Parts: sequence; C-alpha cells; structure tokens
Amino acid sequence: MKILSFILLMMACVTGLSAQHHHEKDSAPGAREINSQHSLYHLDAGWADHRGDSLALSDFRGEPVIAVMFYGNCTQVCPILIQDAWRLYSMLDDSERASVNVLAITFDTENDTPERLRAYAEREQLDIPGWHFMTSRPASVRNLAMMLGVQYSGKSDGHFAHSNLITVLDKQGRVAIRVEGLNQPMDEAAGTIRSIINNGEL
Amino acid sequence: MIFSAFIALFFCLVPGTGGVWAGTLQTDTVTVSVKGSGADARFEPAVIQVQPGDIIKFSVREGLHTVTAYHPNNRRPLRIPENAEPFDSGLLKPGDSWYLEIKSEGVYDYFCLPHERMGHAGRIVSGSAESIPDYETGPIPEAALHKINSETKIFLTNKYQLIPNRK
Repeated sequence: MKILSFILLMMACVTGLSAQHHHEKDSAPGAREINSQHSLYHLDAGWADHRGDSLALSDFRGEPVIAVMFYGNCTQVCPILIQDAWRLYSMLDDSERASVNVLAITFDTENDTPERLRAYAEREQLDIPGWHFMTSRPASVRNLAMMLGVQYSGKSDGHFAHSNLITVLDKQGRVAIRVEGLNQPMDEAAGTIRSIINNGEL
Repeated sequence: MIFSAFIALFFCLVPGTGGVWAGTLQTDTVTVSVKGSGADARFEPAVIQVQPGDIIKFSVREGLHTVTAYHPNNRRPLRIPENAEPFDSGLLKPGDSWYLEIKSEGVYDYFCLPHERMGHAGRIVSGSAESIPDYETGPIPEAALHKINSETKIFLTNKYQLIPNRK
C-alpha cells in the first residue's frame, strides 16, 4: 500500500514538473495569413527610430531582418516578445549579427515617441547597432501590420490586444519565416537567417 | 534495496524527471509565490536562503510573469555567481509552476521581465548570508534595486534576531 501511495505521489510530481517548460498557447489574437511573395519594401512610408533617425523600410534591403511589433507601456507579454527576438538574435554569431537588422515597431504611435523608444531601448539594453525601435503614422503602422499578418487593437485602458509574432524577412523584404507565440524555439528561424546570409535568396 | 532501485528506474524512464530530480532526493524544495499583475507584482518571499542542491519552486498565483536572472545573456548586469548558469523561465501564467535548482553557493538576483521597472525582483542566497557581494547596478531600474536591497535588509534583520547573543 505504501509503495502504491508513493507511486501515485511520484505521478503527481511528474504532472507538476511537466509545467516547467510547457506553456499554454496564449489567448492573443492569432496572426493572419499573408502572401509571402509581397515585399514590405513596397511600403513607402517614412519611419523614425529611437535614435531620431528618419528611415524607410527599403533602407534595410539587402540584409535579413527580424521584425517584431510591440508597445512600450506593455506590462504583460511585450517584454517577453522582445526577449524572444533577443533570443533569436543571440543564436547568431558575431558576423551573422553584423548582417542582420532587428526592427521593433510600436503599435502605440501616440505614446511611443522616438524619445520614449530611446528610453525603452536603453532600459532594455538594446540600444545597440542593428536594433531599431521604430514608429510612424498610425496608418503606416497598420499597413505594415497587415503585411506581416499581425493583428492589434487598442483597448480602453490604453493597452493593446495583439498577435505575438516574430518575422524574418529575406533580403528583398519578403516574409521568409514567422514564429508565432511566446517562448517558441528559434532554431528554425536562426537557420533561415543563416541561409539568407550565406545563400542569398531563399 | 528493491524499492530504491524502483525509484531510480522511475526517474530514468519517465521523461522530464531526470534533469531536475536526478540525485536530488536529499534536497529541500522551497516555494516562492509569484503574485500581482501590475504595480503590485511581487515574489513572496522576495529574499530566500537555500543550500546548494536545493530546488526552488516558483508558483504563479496571478498575472503573467517571468523568473529571469540578472545576467548578460538576459541583457542585464551579472548579479549571479560567475560560474552559475543563467536562467529565464519564459512566460509563466497563473497555475504554472517553474523549478530552479541552485547548484552552487552565492547570491542570485533575478527579476520579472514585464514588471522589473515596477520593482518586481528577488534574491536567492545560497549558503552563507554573510557574504552578499557588492554587485554592479548598471541600468537596472531603481525600483528593482530598492526592492532587492530593502528586502535583503529585512531578511538579514529577521535572521539575526533569531540568533541570541549575536552582535
């Protein structure tokens, strides 16, 4: 009887432990289907980054890009989404990192001014070469989100409901791979970036 | 003897158990509750003392949180022992439990990614509580540093109040 009780206790432990690396799929709006043949670099809007520089998306043509959409006041998943982008970036070696740009684009065009994005980048210790925290006009952000398949909507409390998506763009600005959800494995996305760097076009 | 062999076999055969529990049947498990969902986000207790080999269970009661080491891998100053593995739980939701094994002596500072700026941080003292290092602060939010330092002060005060005749 004691042995049976012990076995049951162990089974209970296993059930609890299985939560260690398992997380339920979050209830965020899912990413929409997209046409991966369309280049984001056809969007001709102007952008500003956290350094105060004016940019166009096509400025990043010729190098792979990691794109993630977020907002600075988020106290739930966005810091984890940024961490996920960092995890992907960290899987690359120094020479690969030098060939990659990371675009963190805010939904919150009202509050996330270039100055606030700069403070955010500094706080997250991501004011580093190749990383760009970007904002633009609301319509431009919406168009980019549609191209990426990211869904978002503002809430009455000033926060946003949004898809959790990290996208890798090829050298022509087309979607090469998307990683949806939080805490996802990044090996395949890192491999895709290496292929883009080493083989040119996918 | 047969019973011990059964236990060993159990942990060898069941996936997901060996990495955490192998060889740790003699250790303690300490629970830290993770509470709050915004400005009130907190680890309870915020400062704990364990012994090398102990396992800490982080049990999330409410909100979305992480348990993330202050370490350059997580884009923060090093505030865990140099020989220790950095850790990051990833997203934890209410009802989740996440286990951390502390393998060596030293002071481990950690934080919650979504709520660090609100002071959601904690400290694990493994081994002696009398050798808390003067860690680099870097750009860590003031609220997080304040939480760690003030809770450590309370922890040490309470600890030494329990020891009679200590000066």
